[in-house]
Amino acid sequence: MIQNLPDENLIKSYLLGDLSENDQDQIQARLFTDPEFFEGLLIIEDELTDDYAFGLLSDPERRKVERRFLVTPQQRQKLSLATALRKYSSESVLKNTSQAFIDYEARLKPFETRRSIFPRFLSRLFPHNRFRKRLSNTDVSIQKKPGSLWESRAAEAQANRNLLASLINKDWLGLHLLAQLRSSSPSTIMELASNIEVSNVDIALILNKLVQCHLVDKQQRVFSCTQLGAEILEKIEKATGVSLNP
Amino acid sequence: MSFKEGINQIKQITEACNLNILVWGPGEGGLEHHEKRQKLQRELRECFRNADVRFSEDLNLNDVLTGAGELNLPNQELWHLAACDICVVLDTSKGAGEEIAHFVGSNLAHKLLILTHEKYKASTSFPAALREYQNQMFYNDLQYDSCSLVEYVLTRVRTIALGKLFGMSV
Repeated sequence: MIQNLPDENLIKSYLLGDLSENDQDQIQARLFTDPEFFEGLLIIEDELTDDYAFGLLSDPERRKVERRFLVTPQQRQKLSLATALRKYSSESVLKNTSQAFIDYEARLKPFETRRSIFPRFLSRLFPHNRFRKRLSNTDVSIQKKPGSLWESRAAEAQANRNLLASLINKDWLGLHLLAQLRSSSPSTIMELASNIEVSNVDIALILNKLVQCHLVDKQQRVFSCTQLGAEILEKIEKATGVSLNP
Repeated sequence: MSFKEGINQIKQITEACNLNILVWGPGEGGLEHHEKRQKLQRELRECFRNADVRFSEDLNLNDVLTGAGELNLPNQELWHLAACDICVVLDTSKGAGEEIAHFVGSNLAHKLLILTHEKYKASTSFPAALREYQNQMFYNDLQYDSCSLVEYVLTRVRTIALGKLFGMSV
């Protein structure tokens, strides 16, 4: 049963991995069906990235952020932006513009009140070309690397198992969806559900896992097979001698 | 061939994979826990009909390894672990951790699936990394008594089998 928390706390708990597996699944299903909730997740994600860059998280929270969601190139890029701001902005600049921030935030909608405004602040403070040059020289490595050889192997094995599990779960529904997406043009959940005759919720859950493993790409509400997804399918077909082309 | 037929074939091929599976845990003195270990062995053999599912005490290295008789038990078990695809450990008592601590920091640790009762969650001595990389999982009484713990193990072994089929480190 999902904890009865306001949406913001719920999303934060989800991002930090504090929810049970059942609750996580329900959140993931809701992300696909509730656009406002999904938008909220993007905002909270930005906030956590900013809080991380500015050292505002507790140690346990920081570790959770490093482990759970600062792992994709896009998320690392956001962190680079926030960290560059911290590095290059001075106290006096922030102090002088604090009133401007207060005024700016007051004009935002309620859910956006805490939205990260630092990227917008940055674009007003620094000339675009100088900032971009500095950013390109900023290399923030935030992904927690396993500390020893056995941890490295365990981490690699877990990543591979998660990828394979995304194909096997729900009676191999993931593999079916991936094969379907490879053979057809990008599809919505409804289109996939009509072809496969499985509930939208199950499809949403499994698609989310496939997206997390980078086997499937999601653009707005449309899903397509990635190059990695196609490569994995080819490997499976080669290893088993079974073709998954219709 | 339809998708469904193709996937069914892949499923069968996966479950027919040649796997070496170890099941560690309480011996005959462990009563119901020993029965659970035996049940796990039966279920694994039934699902993966070409798998070799053994308890360590069933394995004799002397036939295959010169000087194996001079190895102490932990080192013999290290050989077993090296030869297996997955080692399921029923961690049913507080002291069980000391027996497998020998292997936990080795580069074979990724093969372990340690199943620990949740009442030992606070006192477990295994590195946090094992839990982080899902090599140690906690179960409750309901899961232990029902089929869900066994089903969890079967699902894990399926991923191991699929990974082994096309050479992925799992």
